Amino acid sequence: MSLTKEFSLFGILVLIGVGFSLFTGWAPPPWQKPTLESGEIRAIDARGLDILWIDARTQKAYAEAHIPNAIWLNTEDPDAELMHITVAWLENPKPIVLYCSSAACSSSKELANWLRNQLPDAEIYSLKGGWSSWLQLN
Amino acid sequence: MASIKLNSIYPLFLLIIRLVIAAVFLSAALPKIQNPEAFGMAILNYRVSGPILSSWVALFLPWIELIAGFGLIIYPLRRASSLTIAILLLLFIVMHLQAWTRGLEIACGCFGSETALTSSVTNYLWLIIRNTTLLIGCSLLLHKDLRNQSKIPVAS
Repeated sequence: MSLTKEFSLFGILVLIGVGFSLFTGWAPPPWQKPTLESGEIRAIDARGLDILWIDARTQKAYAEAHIPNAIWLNTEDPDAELMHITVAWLENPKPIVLYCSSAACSSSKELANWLRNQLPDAEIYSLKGGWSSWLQLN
Repeated sequence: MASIKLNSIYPLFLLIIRLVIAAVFLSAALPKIQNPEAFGMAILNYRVSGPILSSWVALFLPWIELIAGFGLIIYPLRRASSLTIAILLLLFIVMHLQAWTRGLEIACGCFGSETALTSSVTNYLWLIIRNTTLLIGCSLLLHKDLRNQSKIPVAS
């Protein structure tokens, strides 16, 4: 068998495999919008992991309840808290996850993007579904 | 005498290399096929592709690895498989080198199921040494398979 034929057979087998993944639903079609967007993490995946949590809700909501050891971030003046976050991360480098109140809010995503620029070496996510999704699990 | 011994051991040595590389690629492919989303995230963490390209790669690459792993031990696909594996290993080495150079503290994603959050940070030196060793082994297989093919007489 020539090398071209070998590669043709190889390609056909790969396409059959890819078709199988799509048909069985093991793989989401890449052309569809992903359920988990870039830079997001699910509460179920984050729970129990060693994470530096950052609360991007209001100070009142934070005072009422928050994820254990979460740092509150003033969304109106995030620069003021940057030093605090940086020190916490440098003392114990670990993934950072920001959360806001629910799936409807976008502040955690925006602040995660901002924080990625401030701490380019850190691994930063926003919590999908926010505080509500955390409450559902706990 | 030594040459005779070497000649008899060399095919066995190549067979072991073939089985080891096939096992590595098969065991790497299966978890990725089962969880392409986690693998897509691992690709994204290398910061060389966007989310759409990462999804396509996460869909195709595990199947390429699986077919190449099987193909390495099945006669009709040996050359295409060893060539594909050599190219993939070269690509992986380049990816690890660029991530190491950029100081990215991410999970390898080599065996699919691990993510940056669930596994320790990648030891790039170890990965590069491992992949280079596999690449050398794969080159030996490729050399043998191409040489054997050229020896097959063509019917006139």
